[in-house]
Amino acid sequence: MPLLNVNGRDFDVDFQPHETLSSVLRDKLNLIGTKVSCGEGECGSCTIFIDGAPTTSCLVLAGQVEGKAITTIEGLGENGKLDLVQQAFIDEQGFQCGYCTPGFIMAAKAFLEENPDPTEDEANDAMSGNICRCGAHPYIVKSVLKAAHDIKQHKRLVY
Amino acid sequence: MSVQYKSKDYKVVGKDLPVLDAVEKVSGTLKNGVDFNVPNQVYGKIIRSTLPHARVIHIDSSKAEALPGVLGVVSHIDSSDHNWDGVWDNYRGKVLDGVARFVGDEIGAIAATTQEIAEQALELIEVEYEELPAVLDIKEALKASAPQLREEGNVRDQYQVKWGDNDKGAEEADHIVELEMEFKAQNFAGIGRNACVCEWEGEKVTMWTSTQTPSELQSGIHQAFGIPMSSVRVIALPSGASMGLWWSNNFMMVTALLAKKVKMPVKIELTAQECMATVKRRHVEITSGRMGVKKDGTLTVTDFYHLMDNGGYGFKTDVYFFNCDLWGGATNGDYRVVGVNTNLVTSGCMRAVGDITMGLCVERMADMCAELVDMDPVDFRIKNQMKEGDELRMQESREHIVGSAKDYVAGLTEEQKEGWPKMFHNASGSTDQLLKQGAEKFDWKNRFKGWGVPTAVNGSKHRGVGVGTGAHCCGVEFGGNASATVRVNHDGSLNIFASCGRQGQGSETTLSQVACEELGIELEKSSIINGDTTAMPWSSGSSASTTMFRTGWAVREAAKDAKRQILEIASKEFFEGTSVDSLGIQNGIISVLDDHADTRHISIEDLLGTLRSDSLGQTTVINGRTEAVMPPTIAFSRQWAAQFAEVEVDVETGEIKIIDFLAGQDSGTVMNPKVLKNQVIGGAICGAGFALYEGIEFDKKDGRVLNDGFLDYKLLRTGDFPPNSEVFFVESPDPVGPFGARGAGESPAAASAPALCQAVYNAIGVWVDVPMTPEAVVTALKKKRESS
Amino acid sequence: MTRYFEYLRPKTVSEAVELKALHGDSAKFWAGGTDMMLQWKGGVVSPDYCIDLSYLTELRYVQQDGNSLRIGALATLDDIDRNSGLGALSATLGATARLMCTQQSRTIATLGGNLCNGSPSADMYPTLVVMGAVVKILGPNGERTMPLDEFHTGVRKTALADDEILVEIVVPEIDAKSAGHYNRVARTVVDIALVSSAAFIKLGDNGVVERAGIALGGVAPTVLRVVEAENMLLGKTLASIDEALIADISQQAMSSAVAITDIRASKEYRTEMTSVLTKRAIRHCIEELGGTE
Repeated sequence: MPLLNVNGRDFDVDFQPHETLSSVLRDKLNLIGTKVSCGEGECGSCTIFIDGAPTTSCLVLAGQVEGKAITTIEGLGENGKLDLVQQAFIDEQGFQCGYCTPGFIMAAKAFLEENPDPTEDEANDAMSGNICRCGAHPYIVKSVLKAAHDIKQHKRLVY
Repeated sequence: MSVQYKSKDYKVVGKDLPVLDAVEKVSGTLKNGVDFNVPNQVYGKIIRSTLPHARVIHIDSSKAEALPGVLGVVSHIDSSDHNWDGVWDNYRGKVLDGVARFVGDEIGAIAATTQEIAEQALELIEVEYEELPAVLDIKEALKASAPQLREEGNVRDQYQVKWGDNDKGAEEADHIVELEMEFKAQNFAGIGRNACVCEWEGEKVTMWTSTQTPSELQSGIHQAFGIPMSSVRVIALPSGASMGLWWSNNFMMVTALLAKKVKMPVKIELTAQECMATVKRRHVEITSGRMGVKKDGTLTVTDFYHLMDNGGYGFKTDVYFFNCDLWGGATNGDYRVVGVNTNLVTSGCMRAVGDITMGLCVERMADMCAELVDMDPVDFRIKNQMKEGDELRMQESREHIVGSAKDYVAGLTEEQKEGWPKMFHNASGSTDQLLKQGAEKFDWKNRFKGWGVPTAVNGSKHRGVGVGTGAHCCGVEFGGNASATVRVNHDGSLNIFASCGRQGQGSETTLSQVACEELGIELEKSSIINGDTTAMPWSSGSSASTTMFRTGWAVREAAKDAKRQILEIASKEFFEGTSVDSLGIQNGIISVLDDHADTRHISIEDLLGTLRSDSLGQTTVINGRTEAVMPPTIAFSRQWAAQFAEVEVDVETGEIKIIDFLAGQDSGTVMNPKVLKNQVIGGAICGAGFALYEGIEFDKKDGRVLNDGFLDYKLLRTGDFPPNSEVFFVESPDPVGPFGARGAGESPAAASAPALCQAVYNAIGVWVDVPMTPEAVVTALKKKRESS
Repeated sequence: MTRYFEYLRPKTVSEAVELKALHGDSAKFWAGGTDMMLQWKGGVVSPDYCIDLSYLTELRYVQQDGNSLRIGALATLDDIDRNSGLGALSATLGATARLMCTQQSRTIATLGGNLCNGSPSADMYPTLVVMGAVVKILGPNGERTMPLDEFHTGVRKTALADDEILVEIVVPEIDAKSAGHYNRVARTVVDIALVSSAAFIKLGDNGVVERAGIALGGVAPTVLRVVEAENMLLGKTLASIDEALIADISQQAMSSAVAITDIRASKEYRTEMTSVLTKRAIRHCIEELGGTE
C-alpha cells in the first residue's frame, strides 16, 4: 500500500489513484480539519502544506505526494497547545462559522513564515487565497497581525 | 419601562468572550454535517431533473440496481402525499411528487454501499419525462396564461403596508421620481457543503444535518411523513456560512425517504454544485415605484410595487420588507409585495430578505429626492426615517397563515399585556444616533462634496463617499413562540436547552451568556444543548434575526424561573425565611444582597447537595421554564444600521475598490462585542458582494444556474474589502429583549449596498445597476455621456 | 463519464514521452493538475491514463542563461514569482503569476500546464508572447522549437502532437533595455482575466525601439498578437511615442479583437477594454525604460 507522510508520521493508506488528497486525508485518515468546500481550488478551505508549501489539497491527486511531507491543521501546535496562529485567530475572532478557518490558519502560517512582519495591507492581500463567506475579513487580518506580533514576542522570549 | 443598562454592571453580558467552540474551530475538530457519520451507514445520491418543467413518466433503474452494492431507489411512488412547509414559506410541497419544477429538482434518489457506487449508479438511471412548458421570467409567470407550476397557481396573495394617502402626497410634492430596479438572485454561496444522515428505527426517525432551525426541521419531517413530532429526533450540527440556506431543505426529506426505503442509515452529501444550484437562493426581485418630496425635504409619497420570484417551491409573499419602517417618517406610504413561482431553483429568505433588494431601490429613490432638493443624504435620512417611539408602519403579519398581530393583541386582556411596550410603536433605537455619530466618526461633512461630486480625482480614479441605512425585524412571532429551558444540576452546573443554529453567529455563546448572567453561574460551568430536538423545547430557531432577541428572551425567562426556585429553597432551607427578593447569586454562591453585615452564604452545589442527601428532598435538579408570554415582536422591535463607505472607481475600466468602511449598528445591548462586530461587518460584506459582483446567471433556455461555482460566482475576499473597516454601536436598550438586546444579523446586510451605490454615484455622477461590475459601470458612464 | 484512470508515473522526461506515444489521445499529461482536476471532475476530459509529471523535477527550474531566461515547463507559478529578480522581465513574469489563481494553487500550478491548457484568457500567454518567448517541445523524434504565439492554436488547443511534451519556455533579451507590462480587468482580487493586454518594448543601442510586442488575452480563441500595432512602435524613440501614437496603437489593437460575450463580460466591453489596457501597458513600458524625458 502507498505510504503517506502526514504530520510527521507514515501511514499505509489504501487509496485509488484518482482520489484527491483532500478526500484521502478526510475519509481514510479521519483528518476532518481539512475542509472541502468548492473543490475547485478557489476557496482555500482545504489548504494543507506539501513539503511546507501551502496547497489546495482538493486539486492534488493522492498519488502526487508520495515521499512528501504533508502537514494538516491537526499537525499544528505542540504538546497539546495551540499554535500561536491558532491562538491569535481565537484572540481576534478571525472567524464566524469556522468552516474556512483551518484553511485560513494554514495559509496564514505559511504567509508568516515568509513575511514575519507584514503590514496590514500585505496581510489583507495574502489572505485572499481563501474565502470566508461569513465576512470576518477585517478580523482575519487582525488575527494574522496578532499572530505575527505573538510569534515575534515568543521568539524573543525563547532565544 | 426603558432601563439604561450599563454593561459594567454585568459579569458576562457585554463581555468580549471567545465563542465557546473557538478551540474546535481553530483546530479543525468541529463536526459539521459533512464530517458526521454513523455506523453501518450507506450512501445516497439524488436523481435530479435535466428539464425545467416536466412530469416523470418512468424512472428506469434496472441497470443501476444491477450494479453490485446498489441497495435501492426511491421516487415519487415511494413518497407520501403530504405537503410539508419550510421555515417562513421557503418551501411548500411534497418530498417527491413526480413533477420537476426546475433543472436540478429532486425526482428520486439511489442508495449504495459506497459513495462511488452510488455515483456510478446515478449515471445508469434513465428517466423518461413528459416535458411541460416552463416559465422562467417573473413577469411572464404572473400572467394567468402562464404555465402554472403548482396546484395553488403561481401567484401568491399580495401583501400590503399602507398609511396616509399617496395621491394627496403627490399633490403636495415638489418633485416626484420614478424608478424600476431589477435584482439578480444572490446565491447563498455558502462556504461549506452540507450532508444529511438519517436513520429509522421502526416508525421513529433520527436525522443529523447542519441546520439553523432544528425544531422547524422536526416539524417538517413530522408533516412530510405523517408521523408524530415525538417520533422525530433532529440533531442539528453546526453549519458553514448559511445566511438562511440550511433551514429545512427537501434534500433532507429525500434522505429520510431513502433511509426508510432501504432500512439502513443513509448519508447524502451534496456536491458543491448541488449546494449552489439546487437548494435555495435569494429571489429574483423587481421593485418599481415613485417617491415624492417637498422642497423642505419632507417625503410625501412612498409608493412601491415589489415582485419576487419563488422559484419552484418557495411560497413566500410577506417579504417582511422593513424599509417601510425605516423610511416610515414619510407622511404617506403604500408598499405592495407579490410572490410568484417560476421554473428556477427554489428561492427563499437569504439574509436581509427584501431589505437588501427593495430596500436598495427605496434608498436610491430617496437619494434621488435628496439630490433634487439639494439636501445632504445624512440629513435627509435623519429627517425622513423612523424615530424611537414612532408608530410602526408594518402592523400586519402573515395573516394568510395563522393570524395577524393586531388581532392577537386585540384579544389580550390588559393584565396579560402588563409591562409590555406600546404595541405597534418602535420601542427602541433608530438610525438617528447612528447617522449622527457615524457622520462624526467618518468626517462626513468634510468628505461629502455634494451630490455626484467626487471627493478626489486622480487620473482615471475617482473617489466618492456614500451613506446607506437598513432595518430589519428581530424575529417574528407566529412562527411558533420562543421557548427554552434551563437545568441547574446538583453540582451547581448549568445546562441550557435552546433550539438555535450554529452557523457562525455565536448564538451558543451569547445565549449561554444570557443564562449565566441571570443565574449568577460561571460560563465555564454551563453547557448548551442547541440542536437536539428531544431535549429542547420547540423554538423557531435561527432565522429572521430571532435568536438573540426571542430565544434569548426565552432563555432569560427560563433562567429567572430557575433562579426563583433556587432562591425559594435557599430562603426556606438556609436563610431562615429571608425574603427571596433580598437574595442573589454570584459565581454560584447565594448570599444576601445589599447587606454587608449579613455574611451568610451557600453555594448552589451545597444547597442542592444537601437536599439530595436529605431523603425528604424532592428537588435535586432545578428545571427552569419560560412561563411568560413574549409580546409580539413585530409590533415593537426593529434593528437599525447605518453605514458609510468610500470607493475608488476607475472610470476607464469600471473597476471599483472599496477604500474605507464604517458600520454603525443599533441592536440594543451588545451581548458580546467581538461576536457582534464580526456579524455586523459580515453582513456589510454580504451586502457589498451583492452590490458589486454577486448574482446568479440563469440559462436563458432552461433556467439552470450557469455560475454554480466560485470561478464565476464572485465573492469578496479579504483583498476586496478594507482591513481597517470599523464597527461602532449605539446601544438603545430594548424593553423586552434579554438585558436590553435585540436582533442584529440582517440590517447590516441591507445598509451596505445603498452606501456603496451612493458612493459610486458621488464618484462618477451616474447611478449604476447592481451588481456594479466593471462592465456595468462602464455601460452606465457611456449612457451618461450619450445623454449629456 | 468515467471516474477512473490508470495512474502512470514516469521517472524521466523521455519516459513520459514514451508513455504518451504509447497511449496517444487516451492518455493525459497531469502536471500541477489545477486545470486537469477540474476538467476531469467536470467530465471535459476522461483519460484512460493519467501520466503524472509532478515528479519530473528536471523540468522544474527558472534560470538565467546569459541574456535569456529559461523556464522549465514544470516550474510553478510560485517558482516564477520567487524568481522575479532575474532581470527586468522576470519581474513582469512574477507580477503576472501573482495575478493568477491563489497562493495555495500557485504552489502546484505550472507554467507548462497553463500554456498547454490553452485557455484564451490564460494570463501567461500575453506576457510571454510580447516578450518573444520560444517554446521547446520534445517528441519521439527529438526536440523542436517554435514561437509561443504559434503554439496556442485555439480554445484548449496547442501545436503539441499527441506524442509530444512541452519542456521549456525561453524568454530572450531580458536585459535592462527591455520592458514588458501585463494588465487586465478582473472582478474580485482572485479571478480569471475578463480581458487583458501586454506590451513589450526593447530599445536598441541607438535609443529607438528595436523590438516591440502587443498581445491581447480574452478577446479571441487564442492569445492575440497584434503585429500591426507592434510595427507602429518600431523605430520610434521613447520621446516620440506620445499619447496620440499610443491612442492609435491601442485603436489598432482594439480593431483586431474578435471577442465573444459570455457570463463574465460582453463582447463590446472586452473589445473596448483592449484599448484602455493596451494604452496602460505601453505607458508602463515607457516609464520603466526611463520615461519620455
